[in-house]
Amino acid sequence: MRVHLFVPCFIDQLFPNVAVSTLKVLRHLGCDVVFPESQTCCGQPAYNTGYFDEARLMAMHEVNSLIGMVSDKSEFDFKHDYIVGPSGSCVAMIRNSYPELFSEDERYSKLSLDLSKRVYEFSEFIDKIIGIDNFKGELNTTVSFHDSCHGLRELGIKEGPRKILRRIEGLKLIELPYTEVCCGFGGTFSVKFPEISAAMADEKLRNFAGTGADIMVSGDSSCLMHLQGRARRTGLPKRFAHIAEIMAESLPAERS
Amino acid sequence: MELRSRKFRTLYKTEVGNAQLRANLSKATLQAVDKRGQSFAEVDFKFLQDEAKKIKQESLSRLNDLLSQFEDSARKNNCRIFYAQTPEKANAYVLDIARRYGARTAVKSKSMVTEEIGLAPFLIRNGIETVETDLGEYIVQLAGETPSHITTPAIHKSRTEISRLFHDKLGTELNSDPAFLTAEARRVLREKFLSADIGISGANFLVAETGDIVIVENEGNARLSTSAVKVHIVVTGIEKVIPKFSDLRIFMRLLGRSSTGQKITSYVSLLRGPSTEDEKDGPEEVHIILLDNGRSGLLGTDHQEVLHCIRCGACLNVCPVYRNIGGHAYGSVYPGPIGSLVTPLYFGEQNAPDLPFASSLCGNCTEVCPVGIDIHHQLLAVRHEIKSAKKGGVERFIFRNYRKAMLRPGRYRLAGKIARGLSKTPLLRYFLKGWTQHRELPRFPSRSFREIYKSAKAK
Amino acid sequence: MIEDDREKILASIRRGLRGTERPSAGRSAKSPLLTEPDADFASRFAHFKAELSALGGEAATAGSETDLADIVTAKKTGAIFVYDDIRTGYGTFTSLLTESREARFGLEFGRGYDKREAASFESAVTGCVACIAETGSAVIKTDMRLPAALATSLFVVAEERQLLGSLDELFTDRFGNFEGSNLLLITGPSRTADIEKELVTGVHGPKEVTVVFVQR
Repeated sequence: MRVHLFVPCFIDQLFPNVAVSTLKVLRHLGCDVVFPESQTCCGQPAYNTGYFDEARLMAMHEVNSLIGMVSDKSEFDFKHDYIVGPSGSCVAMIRNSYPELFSEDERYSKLSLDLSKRVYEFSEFIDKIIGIDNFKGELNTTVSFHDSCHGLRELGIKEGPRKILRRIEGLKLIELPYTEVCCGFGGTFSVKFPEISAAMADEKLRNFAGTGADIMVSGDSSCLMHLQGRARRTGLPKRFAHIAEIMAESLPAERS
Repeated sequence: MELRSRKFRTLYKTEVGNAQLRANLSKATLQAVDKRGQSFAEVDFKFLQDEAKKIKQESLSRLNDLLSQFEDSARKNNCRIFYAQTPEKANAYVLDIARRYGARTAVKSKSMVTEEIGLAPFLIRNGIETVETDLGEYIVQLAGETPSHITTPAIHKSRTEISRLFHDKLGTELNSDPAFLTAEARRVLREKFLSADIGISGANFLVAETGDIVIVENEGNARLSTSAVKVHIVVTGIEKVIPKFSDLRIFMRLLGRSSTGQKITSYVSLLRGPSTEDEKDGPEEVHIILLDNGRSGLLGTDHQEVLHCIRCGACLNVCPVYRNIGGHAYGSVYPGPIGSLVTPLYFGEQNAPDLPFASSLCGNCTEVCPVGIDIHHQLLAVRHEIKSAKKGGVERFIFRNYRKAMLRPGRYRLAGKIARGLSKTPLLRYFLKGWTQHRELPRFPSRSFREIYKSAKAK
Repeated sequence: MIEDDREKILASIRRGLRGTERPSAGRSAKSPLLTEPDADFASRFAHFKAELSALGGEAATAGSETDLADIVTAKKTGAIFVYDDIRTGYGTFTSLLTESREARFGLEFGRGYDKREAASFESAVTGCVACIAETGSAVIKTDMRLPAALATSLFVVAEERQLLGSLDELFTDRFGNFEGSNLLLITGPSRTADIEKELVTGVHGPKEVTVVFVQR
């Protein structure tokens, strides 16, 4: 199964280990993974701030990059290939918002609709396309899973990541109270209204601390960046990790 | 009420630091969220939501005809109809009726539209004692404040604060037991009901087919405000009309569950006008004021669905932003997610430039909306309109250059490298102070993923 | 008289809607209830009772008017107001009632009666139009609104055939074409949770709501 890896800009720049782990896990599961190197940003920050024109230009570039039309040799086969990214939020941007952005552009409208059927969030891809049973890991730890809003509500991801985590022997999953409440990141919201954003993070962190778990795991590094930044500021010594990182760490080769 | 939504940036900052407020709100809203969830166990929420949305779509798309039909039905029931474009006109009409009747006291039940037009303060200024009779509204009125929630007006107040208020204003003993406080309010308000001349209410629904004015409530104050008076004045928005009596089977199941987790509210009044010859009490006159005030301007636009709102308050209860700043921060009668739409869309986007941005777009509001308003995407659309109307500005400059960098992978790589290089300098922290005042920056890696990927590939 | 804005508003509506008007949409006949409403009276009543009890109300059945009188008089309330629909059909009940309780009847009051008098009754007993098992509601239509609205204890007398399974049956033409100025659905006691979401009953209306189905 061939996969074009979609690595959101901030993961590329700030959390490369998330992308490395994603790559590792997908290859471990037998995928033929390529990373189209001309990709940059999906345009979500501009889109969610109301700059639709800027977002549209970035989206065009991203679409072309992801299907290997810009500089890479690997052209995308819409019948057999998949695009997989380790971010519910950015995948939702491509799957749900691109067709909206391009509603008045015939060519890109069709392209983005075709694309939206082939783009998957990482855990969703394993759950729905590869099959959970193909994955098995081992890691002694206690985690809570944080549902990112876009993963949960835009993509309908809820049980998949939990099923995956349960495939890791030695891992104990403790549910967060009010797990479906937003952590307060919200893209530019986090810097436009930092006090509210931080108050929301505190609510989430209080609930997390209450579980006694060691690691907060999520499918979105943006939520984690925000929560970890707040936890470090307020002195909560916990680890925040992307589900791909936890999976990669749980693989046999990784433990040796 | 005076619109202060332009001052949102200042207002929210004082509220977000108020620990008591946050504690009050957290307790109340989370309880409402839990109860709401449980109450939908026996019914098909999706079905109800779809039907309600369909009915509201039809109601708006046939609004001209349905209003005419409602007028006919209501006139047959001996009601009088008055259309008002502005709050001033609606207020003037109410005052005119009150004066004609020589009214001294008006009892009022909860209604968002009367809050919107500032009816109670207006009547009081004009010498008519106007008493809020919903307990929450009464508390807020005694305190000289405005409601901070659509269905739970005094949600921001603790029992201790209310007990102190009653002690100061009514001379009751300092007892913070809600049952005691409620009994005190009952005692005072009962006297008001018995001496009132006119009653003022809103309407949850107007049924075109039958002329019914439908009012839902829990306390019985709306029942009394509309029954123990000579004149009943209904003040409501033009968007409240629905086509059929049978449509109520959908809305009655949604409204109570969405607002308080009740299968149906304790009281549902289906009012059809002044008392008939066979009846021995009830109003002699019923006036229905249909307010526009910015509503008709949304028809035929992408924002038409905002008019579906039945003011249940579910989106406020689930909203983590609302929970952390409370209703007053919004500076508008309509707070929370739906308020961040209604305020700019009814009263002008220039009057609420920040509200549509005060959302993390988590979408929980959209998920619970009983009438299927895509609230968070509507917020996004209003953001776009606000940005499109404003030329220039630092933010636009940043996004334009950001985009330029993103279209050239080379520039993107370079920019990333520079940013990561700068991460240890105070300069970047300065530029990111919106972030760093409240959070640590992540530890910047020395190499980006693409660099790692490239070097691995080269091996 | 102030002139209204009817024409201006309707014109603005038409202007906005131009081209987007849609014909009346169909309605789904499906019930949103996940389980079918109960068919027979016994299970309907059990459902009704469970719903009403959960809200702090009471539901009972009475085999005769004497039983009904026992249920009503068991509550140690003061003066009771008896609506005319009860007086006319329930002779035995009313005479038993007057033996033990100060009772006043609807026919003693005329149009424009003093509302303070209505406030003097601690309880009221009325008939009803229907009851609904789904929600534990009683639907009443009275010729005097205040006694039922002001009483601390409200009794609603119903007949078995009046118990509907669900709201779907209420919101139909059969009830939509009612005569009179109003119809009221009462579901349990008057209540509020305006202070810290703590439930308090008996705010402005009844603290006790008792619905009795009489088998006759």
